[in-house]
Amino acid sequence: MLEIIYFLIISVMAVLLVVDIVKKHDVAELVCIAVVLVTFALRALHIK
Amino acid sequence: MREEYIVALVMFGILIVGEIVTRNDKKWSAVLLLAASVAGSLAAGMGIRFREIVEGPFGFLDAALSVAAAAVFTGLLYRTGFLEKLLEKILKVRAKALKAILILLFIALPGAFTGLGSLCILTTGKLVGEKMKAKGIAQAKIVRTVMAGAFFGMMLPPNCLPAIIASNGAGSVLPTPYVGFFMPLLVLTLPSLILYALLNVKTLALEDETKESVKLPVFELVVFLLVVAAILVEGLLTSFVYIGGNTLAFFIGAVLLVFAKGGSVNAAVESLHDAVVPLGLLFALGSFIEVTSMTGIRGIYSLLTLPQTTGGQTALLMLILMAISLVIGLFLSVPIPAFLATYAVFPIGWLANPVIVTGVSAAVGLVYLFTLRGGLFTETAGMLEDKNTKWGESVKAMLLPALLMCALAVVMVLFGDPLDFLIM
Repeated sequence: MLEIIYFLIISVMAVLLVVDIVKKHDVAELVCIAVVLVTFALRALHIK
Repeated sequence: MREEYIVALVMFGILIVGEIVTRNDKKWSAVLLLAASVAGSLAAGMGIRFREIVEGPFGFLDAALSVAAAAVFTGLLYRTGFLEKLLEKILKVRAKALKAILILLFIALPGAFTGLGSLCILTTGKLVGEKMKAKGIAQAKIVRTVMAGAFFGMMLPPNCLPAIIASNGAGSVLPTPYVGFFMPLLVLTLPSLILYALLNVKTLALEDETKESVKLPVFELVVFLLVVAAILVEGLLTSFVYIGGNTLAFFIGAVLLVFAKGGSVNAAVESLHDAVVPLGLLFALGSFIEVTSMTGIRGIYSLLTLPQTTGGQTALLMLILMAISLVIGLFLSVPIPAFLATYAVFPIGWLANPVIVTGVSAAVGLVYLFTLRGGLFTETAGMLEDKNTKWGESVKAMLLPALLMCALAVVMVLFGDPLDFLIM
């Protein structure tokens, strides 16, 4: 039960952060930045 | 119906509907490609395959790094005022035909470095546009000139986004071998550029009324010349000399320019931001290609085409896919033609030589130029805040140079192997 509550809390927090970012920026541009950033970061950190 | 066809229908359906709904807005292309990738893996019953969706972009990583470094370098050249001074210097040239070619090359410069036509429009295109406006040149002619410069810039070496996309077909998900494209791209683009400049000498050869001599800032000039020299050596003598790659040359140039007058880390960040949308599209296309491979679409394509593509028929398949790209691209902009370009190169895979791949890439480049919405025309008219110029009149001026490029592209696809001496 507690696991589910914690899962919900982190989900709500994540959604709130995403809503805040989306409100302030252009969604399509954010997606572009995310795609580039994830790829660059994974290579920079030698994960991929 | 085979499962692979259903998956392909879902993926392409999302792209087609999305492009229609967003009116080919290029910033949404990356989102649509990613959405289609997720939908494709769900339709195949594989769940949301984050691994493949994240892995796909890595096929483009090496080339994208060069594009990103070049975008920062070019952005800093613009923001330090060097490009403005360079234009003033070019305007002092007296021979009109030479001046016309140099001005067109000037607009094309950021595109040649980065492979992105949009950077030409935002920087050198804006500078030349302002000069033309001050001379009282009609808005339609300004739009056409900037659009032409951006197109040629995108197609010129060292970086060419359409060639980077097409070369992915030779490397698939492995690091793309975007090497040896310098001369083929030059041979493909330079004749059309010169033809356009000579046909439009009156518009391009802007008169310079000022008599003061122009002095280029020494530090920026030295950095610029060193980077250009490194790129030329690396591009023209690929087989003999390796000095660290274009990425390194652009990056060192960019770091040096941060310390120039007008340069700053903020300026570098802004410059990189200008390249984010096209890079996003490139990476999202990588995900899309990866998902088509994972779900078996590529397998079906190979099954259907490989038995038929022996000898000269491979070239025929490429030409057919290029023609389909042009027709689809006219209405739906770049994503589907970009995908088709990689699939056109797939049958020859690692055997593809850059001359053939360059020929195929011309189709994607021409889509950027001719697409009704979401291409270079839309972007140029948007930057110049021009709502009166019609797509048709701008594109009409590009027909002859585009036809010449098309003819050269077909020659490259058909005779790529005997022309492999161009890969130096």
